[in-house]
Amino acid sequence: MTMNRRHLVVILSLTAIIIALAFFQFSSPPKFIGAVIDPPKAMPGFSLQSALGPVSSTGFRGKLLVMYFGYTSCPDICPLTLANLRQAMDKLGGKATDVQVLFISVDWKRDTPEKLGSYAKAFRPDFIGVTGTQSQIDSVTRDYGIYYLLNLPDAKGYYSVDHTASVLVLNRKGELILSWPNGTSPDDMASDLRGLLRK
Amino acid sequence: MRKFALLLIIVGLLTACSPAAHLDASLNGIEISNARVLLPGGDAMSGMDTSLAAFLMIKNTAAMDDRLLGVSTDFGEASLHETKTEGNVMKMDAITGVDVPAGQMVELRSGSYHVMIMKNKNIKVNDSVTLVLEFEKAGRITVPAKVTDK
Repeated sequence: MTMNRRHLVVILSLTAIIIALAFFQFSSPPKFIGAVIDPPKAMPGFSLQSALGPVSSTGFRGKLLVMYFGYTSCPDICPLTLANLRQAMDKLGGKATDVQVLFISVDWKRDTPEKLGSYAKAFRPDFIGVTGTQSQIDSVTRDYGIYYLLNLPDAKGYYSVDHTASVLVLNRKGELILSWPNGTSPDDMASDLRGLLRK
Repeated sequence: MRKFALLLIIVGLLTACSPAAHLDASLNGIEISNARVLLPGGDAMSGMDTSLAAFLMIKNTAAMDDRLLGVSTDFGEASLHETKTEGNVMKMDAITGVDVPAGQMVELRSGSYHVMIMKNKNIKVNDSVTLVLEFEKAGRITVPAKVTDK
């Protein structure tokens, strides 16, 4: 075997290995950091109120819907989760147009649709904030497995709200497919969203 | 001897480069560092009728235990709160103080003790604001805090 022929064999072998690795990378199912719901679970629809009018869950079909339940008087976990979601969306670049973040306030007593509109948009202009009547919030939280409790007010009238801090992700068909526990990093969220967008 | 000198230089450089807590104020054995007020939605949240959090670290270098009793500011209404996680449910309660045992470091951070600030008066990212901490033994400590969006 001449030297040139040996070189050719080595180059062809390396090329074959690279192609095999690339094929494995793109053909294997994406690994998710969040808890995967398998098979995806069909979810009841809901209609809530945003600053710009009623918002229906069916209106988001064709996009991934990222749902977070909280309240605007929450100083700690809610704004930090929304800030993490903003960073995750920023990391998606142009693909972020296929993802909708929906902040649902369970504080139906204090939060108005107008307040939620400006609050959600402070994090990212395409974030939507919604709330509803007590009966609408009770219904959507029950359907989506979210616990909440408005605590008793203090002497100044302030009250905190206990609530589930998971973030839920619905696929393009409106089925529940993933949930992230509180504290999931923007990198991990972005990685999961990229994987879901490839599906 | 040369090797020893080189080792000393390397150790010195590593020490100089290592991340350290930024000391903001100290009084009577209490050291406050990394004080910051979070405006996670950026300047768009300025003046909004919502609640913000301030975080910081307290080191007690004194020989006696101490306790943070309260916080006040001139840019909003401040109070001490604690966030707890039960399962995946977040709960927050007002608290009457935070113990800082002698020789210990206590951190006010997300998901734990924090200063809650309501009715913020138009603070902006990168502003320097003031927190006044009231300790049982060390007394009143005035701390500069930076407003940050992360």
